[in-house]
Amino acid sequence: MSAHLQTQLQSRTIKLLLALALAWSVLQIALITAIHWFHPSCGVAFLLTAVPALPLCLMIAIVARQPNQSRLYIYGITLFAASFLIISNLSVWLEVAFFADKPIAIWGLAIWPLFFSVIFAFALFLPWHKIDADTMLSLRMKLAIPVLRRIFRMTALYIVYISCQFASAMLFDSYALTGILAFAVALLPVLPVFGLIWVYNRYMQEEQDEFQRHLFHQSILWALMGTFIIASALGRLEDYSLIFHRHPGYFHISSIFPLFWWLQLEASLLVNAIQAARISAQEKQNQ
Amino acid sequence: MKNRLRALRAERDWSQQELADRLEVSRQSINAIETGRFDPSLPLAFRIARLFKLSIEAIFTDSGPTSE
Repeated sequence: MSAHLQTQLQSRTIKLLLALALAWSVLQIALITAIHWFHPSCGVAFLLTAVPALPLCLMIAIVARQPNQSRLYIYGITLFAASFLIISNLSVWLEVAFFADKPIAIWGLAIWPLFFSVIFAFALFLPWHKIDADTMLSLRMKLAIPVLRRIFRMTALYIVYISCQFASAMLFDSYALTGILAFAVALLPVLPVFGLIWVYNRYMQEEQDEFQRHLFHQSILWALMGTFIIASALGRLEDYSLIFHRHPGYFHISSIFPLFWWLQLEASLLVNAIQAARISAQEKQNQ
Repeated sequence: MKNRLRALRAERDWSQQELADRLEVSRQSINAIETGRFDPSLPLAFRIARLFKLSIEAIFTDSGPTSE
């Protein structure tokens, strides 16, 4: 198969995947609207939540037919979509089963697929189709893979983290939890945070470029310092009731800190990359 | 730590990317080493020395105080 034809096919596949992702998003919103208006029984709601899985099954089937060299990336993105769908659909079903009296929370879940669809669309519009067998084997790609893996793992971990946060809040809202079970449920969202240590270790093992490792360490420290400052400042303000102390729940401030740390980490790495590009451009001009 | 990496690279008419490919590191690493923003590890310093067929001391010079 010629490279041009292959690129065309991959481009078409990406458009198809994007259309299916949007179809999934529309179906998901339709499902939530139906549940909100018609209040179906648990069994019917469970069946309904399976409907948006159809475009996803098609997406997986399409990816499975792709040539090897493009499969790695598209497969990763689709798996990411699958995990997200499972989590969000399970949440919808849990809402219907146990918290039907809280329609606002159900509507809140509608944001999830929309949010994901935007990320998914963005990921698909990246020029993945330009990656062919030769560039896959090039050094630049080899160097980029550990970074991509780290971002993918961290994103997956934070999705699990937010899901645990929701699950924990839902369980506390509906049951009078006491004893060890209450401790376990309260600490549930902390477990994925431990996963960050694993991601960090894996990245350190996989990253062959010592300068990138150095930048990563530096960025971790900057993010940590920023998080400490904000956490301690908010803590002090809460201590003296200068700001409103929110009750633990779906969006409690404590749940923001690990996310905040992650965002700062990525922002710091981005600043480093921009600085490096600027220095490099200046040097080219000087030459 | 100062180094002659840029001069050595210029002598061979290599771009930063070419040198990075030969050393199996990123171009940013080469740029950071050349501009003195990053000191390479001992294994990387050895790789650089081997590539240019020079001793490490001939490429890198310690800018700090020397001990007697």
